Order: sequence, then C-alpha cells, then structure tokens
Amino acid sequence: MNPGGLHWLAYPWGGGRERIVRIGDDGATPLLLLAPLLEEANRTRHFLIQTMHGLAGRGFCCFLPDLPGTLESSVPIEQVSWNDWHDALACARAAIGRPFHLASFRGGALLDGAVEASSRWRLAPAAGESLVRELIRTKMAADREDGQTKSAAALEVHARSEGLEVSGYRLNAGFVSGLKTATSSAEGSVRSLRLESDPLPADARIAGTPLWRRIEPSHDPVLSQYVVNDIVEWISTCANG
Amino acid sequence: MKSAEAVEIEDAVRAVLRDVLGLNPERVAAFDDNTPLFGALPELDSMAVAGLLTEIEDRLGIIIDDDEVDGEMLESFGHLVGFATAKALG
Repeated sequence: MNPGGLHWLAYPWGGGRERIVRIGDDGATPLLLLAPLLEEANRTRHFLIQTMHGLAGRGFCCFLPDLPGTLESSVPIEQVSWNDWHDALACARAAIGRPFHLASFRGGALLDGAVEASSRWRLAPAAGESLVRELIRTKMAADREDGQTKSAAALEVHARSEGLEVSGYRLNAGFVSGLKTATSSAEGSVRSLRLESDPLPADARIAGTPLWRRIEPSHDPVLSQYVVNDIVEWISTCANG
Repeated sequence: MKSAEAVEIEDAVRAVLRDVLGLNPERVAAFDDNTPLFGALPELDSMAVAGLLTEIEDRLGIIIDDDEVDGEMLESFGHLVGFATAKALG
C-alpha cells in the first residue's frame, strides 16, 4: 500500500457518525492530529493534509478527526457545546482503537488533554481567551462595515449570554463561555513549537507563515517539512527516553 | 528621517500585510504612506482585519484596544504604520 494513501473512517457521536481522515499504513505508529478550530481549520486544511502525507512517509499512520459541527459533520454547530468536542475525541479515540501520540495545532491544543496519549506535540498553541478575543474582533470588524458600533466588552457579554454569529459560525453561549476559559493541559510529555514572530513561551521557534491567520487557505511547504521532522524527532525521543 | 525603531515597525507592518493577506512581496514593498488599504485592497475585508490586528500585536508586543480601531486607522498604509508606531513607541 502507498504509505501516503488516504482513507476515511468514522466514529459514532450523538446518534450519528463523524469522519476521520486517515493517511498512512496500518502497522505504522499512530498519530492523532487536532486541527486549529473553526475558520482556522479551513485555512490550514491543505497544510495539515500535506503534513500528514509527509509523516506517513516517515512511518506514521495519521488520523485527523472532524469535530461535530465542523467540516463534513451533519450536526449544526449551534447545537454543539464546548464539552461535546471533548466527548467526541473520546469517541474518536475508541474508533482508532490503539494508543497514539498527539500533534495539535493552535486551538486544537485546548482539546488534546481530553484524550489519553503517549505524548503531546503542539504548534502555536492558542489559549481559549485569545481565540474568543479574535472572534469578537472579527465580529466587530463585520459590524463596523454594517454601520454598527458596539464595544468589544458589550459584544462579549452578549456572546456569552446569547451566543455569537461570526464568519458563518453560529456559536451558542455555552460554547463561547467554554472556549473562553479553555486552557491546554501541561501534563505528561509535551513539546510546543512557535513561529519566530510569536512572543509566547515555546520549546523551540521556527520560521514560517501564520497560515491560520491568512484569509485564503494557503500552504507553506518549508514549514510543513520542518513540522514533519520535528514530530519524528520528538516522538523518537519520547519512545527512547 | 525615521528612527531605526520606526523603520523596524514599518517593516513589521509590511510583513504582516504580506503574511496575513497573502500579498505579493514586491507589491507590499512598494507601499508608501498614501497607499490606500481598507476599501482598496480586496484582500483586506472585515474577516482579515482581526488576524491583521492580532498579528501586529504579536510581532510588536503591543495591545490594541478594539474600541480604538476605526476606519481611519486602516485607511492607508501610513495611517496603520502611524497607529502601530504610536502604540509601540508610546
């Protein structure tokens, strides 16, 4: 089988099924990838799929789940709570059926503590608070175009009581509140990588484009290759250490 | 003449426009104070504004109060650089 081959599997959730993209051979080391959240997931999709192909060529079998309410999911996002995403990952884990390592990107790192994993690798992990701030910021810019001027604080109060409709996502109030207080877990073996332009603490820094902020989905092959090499090296250190 | 810090800030704003809007580097290099931004660059829509501001905050180590952001700040390259410089150099 071509190690870069792409397959689909599914995990049961909420009475239906959600999709998992699988790239890699059956016997290869399993690695679960958690994508950035919401619009950032679309912007980085191509990058993630290409990175999965790269990892498949280096002995990994990569799994990338759709979260309920996103991508191919048939569940409307407005019905999804923040905790549902934790539950969904527990179901995805059962569907994969064997221990795996984790690689999460941006807001995906807020979910990687919900599942048991041999190790956790993160690229530019984002705190829930800063993601909510960006959502409010996007909402403000859209409102300003429509001639409305609510303060950031007023918008956030409204979002946490009535929900928030932004960039085509109708997020319920519980989801916004859950995301706002979400932080990533520091337990176990964790390695965090950040771009050179990002001032937050990290184990290592790399040059690259913040694809998750780019308005049109784009790719950075050099960054992808660096990510592949770093994950391979990190997991081999975890396995030997 | 601009100070070294001011030039650095201008370069950072240029890099953010390139990275967030996906603009051609030569095109961004040619931006001057009068180059119009919001309303003139189709890439710079309301969706892009959030990423642009956050990326500028990260790279310059500043905090932009969303209530301070208005149409004028994004009107031209000169205005945006001026805003970022005032924030960064106080």
